[in-house]
Amino acid sequence: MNALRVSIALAAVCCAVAWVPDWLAAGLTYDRHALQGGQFWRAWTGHLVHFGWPHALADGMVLLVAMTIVAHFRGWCVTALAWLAGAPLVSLGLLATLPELQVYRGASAMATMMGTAAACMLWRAEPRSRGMIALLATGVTIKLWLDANGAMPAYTTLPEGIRVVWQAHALGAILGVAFAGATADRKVKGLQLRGPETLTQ
Amino acid sequence: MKSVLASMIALLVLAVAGCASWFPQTGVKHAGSMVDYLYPDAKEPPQMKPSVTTLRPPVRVGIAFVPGEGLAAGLPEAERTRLLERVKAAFAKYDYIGAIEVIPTQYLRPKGGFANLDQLARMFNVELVALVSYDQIQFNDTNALSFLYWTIIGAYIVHGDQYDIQTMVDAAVFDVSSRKLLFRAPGTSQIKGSASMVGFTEQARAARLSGYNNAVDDLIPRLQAELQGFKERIKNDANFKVENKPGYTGGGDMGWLGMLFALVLGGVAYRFRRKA
Repeated sequence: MNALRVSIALAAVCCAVAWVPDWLAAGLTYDRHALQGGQFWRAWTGHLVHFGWPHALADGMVLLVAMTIVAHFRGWCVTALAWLAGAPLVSLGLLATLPELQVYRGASAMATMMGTAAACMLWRAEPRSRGMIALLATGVTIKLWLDANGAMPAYTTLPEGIRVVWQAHALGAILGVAFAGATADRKVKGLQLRGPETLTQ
Repeated sequence: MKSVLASMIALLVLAVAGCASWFPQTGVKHAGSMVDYLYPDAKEPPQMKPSVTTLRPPVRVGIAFVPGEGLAAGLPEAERTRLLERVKAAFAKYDYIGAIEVIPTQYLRPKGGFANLDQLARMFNVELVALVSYDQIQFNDTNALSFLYWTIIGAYIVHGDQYDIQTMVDAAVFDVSSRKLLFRAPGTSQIKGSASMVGFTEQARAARLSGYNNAVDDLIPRLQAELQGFKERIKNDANFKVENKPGYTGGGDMGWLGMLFALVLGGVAYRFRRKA
């Protein structure tokens, strides 16, 4: 299957779910009590629903770019499996570390996971990209710090009254590094090994 | 006989003249002062200790009219509740406001100060209290048509009396634990009208009520604007801290900055793919 198409499909799902009726979105949202009550699907679907289209669009776009790069390095199957394994891990992490968080929506934790994994893979495969990746990592760290301190500058796409769960991003980043490390010796070591056509395959 | 007739005419003139003197020409003033309520008998300015005010959204807010004194208290309680319910409805849409409790004036003690405010906060389980003070003055005047009151029937049909009602309400939001004023906003109105002598009291009462309604209409958007300004202000104010409260809603948000990072990452990948 085409790696780009898989990424587009998942990003499109995120954006499309932004328009579902409220009752359906409520049934898919990460809800602490509902999850503890056995509605386990929310551990996955909570990462697909969003608080409006700007939120979905921003998360979907990042997910699209990051998954396309990861799928290029590891293939669509491993990438999809990483998403399926990572989503509940982030949800479990939120359950364990943020007891005060009642409701959560957004694909950003998964986007951070894929983005971090993509950066790690690029770092390893292409030494010339390291300067740029280090700069990006600094930018992401500053954003994480701003979110953690409630600085909420103009770049947020969340509606009023909803706070950024920076802990989800931190969990995503940790999972991204773990994913990239765990699959590092899985064949493809650099972009050049897969040929120039693979990014657009 | 002539003297009896003259006496009767004189008595009639005096009685009719009395009609005009029945009407009170003075104005009416209703007031509930924030300063009188919070700082009763204060001889020195209140000393504020510098401290960090912690807000934990969704915050619970109480809203109440400051008690007036005696007959100057003004509005009946039912009307006060109706006005406060309108303010409450205008602020119910904000996610960071968990609940708004309308506190009846009977629970506020005149000159109760912050001690009374602490009691209210505990009783109604609120963290912030919005106190609404008010000041309404009614000026009464007569116009040129009032001379027709001498015809007696004129007192029923001629609008010879005028009123000018000026109202100001002011909502100040306090953090109860730190006793800090967070923000405030005023609302004003002016109503002018005229009435016959007989219907004056009733019409002026209705106009006074309209004055409060109009002032609250004016207050609500200003208070919303102040709330918005306060939200922006506390982001850069070290005296305020916003913490999460159990039950809060959060979102994983990459934001527009995240999109920019992704585009750069995509650009890096694309660049080295091309060079490969």
